[in-house]
Amino acid sequence: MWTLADRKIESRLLIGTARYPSPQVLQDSIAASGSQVITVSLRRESAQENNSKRFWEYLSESGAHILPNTAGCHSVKEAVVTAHMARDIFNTNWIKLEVIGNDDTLQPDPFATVEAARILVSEGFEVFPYTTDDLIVAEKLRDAGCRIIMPWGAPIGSGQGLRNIEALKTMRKRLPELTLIVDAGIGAPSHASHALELGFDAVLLNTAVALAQDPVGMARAFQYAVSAGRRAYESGLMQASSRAQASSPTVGLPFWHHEQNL
Amino acid sequence: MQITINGKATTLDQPVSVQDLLHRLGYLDHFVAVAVNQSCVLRRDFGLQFIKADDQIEILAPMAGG
Repeated sequence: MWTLADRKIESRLLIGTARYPSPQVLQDSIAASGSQVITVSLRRESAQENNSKRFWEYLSESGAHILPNTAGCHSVKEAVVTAHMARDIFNTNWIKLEVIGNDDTLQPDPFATVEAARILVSEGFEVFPYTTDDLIVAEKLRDAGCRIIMPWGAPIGSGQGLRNIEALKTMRKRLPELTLIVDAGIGAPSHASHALELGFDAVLLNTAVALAQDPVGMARAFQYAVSAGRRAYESGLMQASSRAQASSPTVGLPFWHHEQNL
Repeated sequence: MQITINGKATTLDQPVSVQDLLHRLGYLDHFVAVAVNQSCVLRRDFGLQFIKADDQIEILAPMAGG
């Protein structure tokens, strides 16, 4: 068990609900992932569509913690209003804060993100800000009152994994008191495992599972990877070395040529 | 009076509450959130807040998201 924003949960995998081939695959994948936190969004819907009804029913039945996002927002105002709407409809003060600064890279706008975070924290939100691996931005978000920071591994949906491992290591080292979750860019279970091995508290991903050939199988693979990564971190990884060091004992080597070389 | 709903201009013949507007538009058993002029209208206030001319209205529903 670990604590995420004052809630006790077991899984360190947070998972998105978008881009699955069908609602049934979505449900089966989330169940296979073991995740207890799922992300959702708010979008325009005409009265004639009502596609959200079944989705809402699933959310209500899932028992998962709902983490609404402000995806698609490009300004502080848009993000804050979307957060207000999400709080009202999902009945949660959790908000995954996304303020996009560039439509091509989906890179967050760090200035707007910090400003929006400050407003939302003051209004009682538990803000999960999506940010880059920049330490100073993370510190500003902490100073704004965020207890959780979510740096990207790589751009959203790219599947490139952890592109700047040293920056992520530095963030973990410099912000030990915060909950750090790698969000975005995870493409393979090994990426998720690596993030946990570095001491990150959790990972948040979506596309890597949703677009897998077998999303349910991939969700299960991520569950194992996250568990393995965390167990490895808690067990203490060995220090890497630039020199080879024999694993087997060197005393009593059996072959005569070693004696000749002495 | 002219208003805009989810980016589309439309006309109302008389002032209505947000609740009445949703019913008129066919949002009957929908679970939606509403903002008027970039300000959230709480669901408990749907019957209390009235739509004015030139209001910009956003009607949003829960959707899949990452």
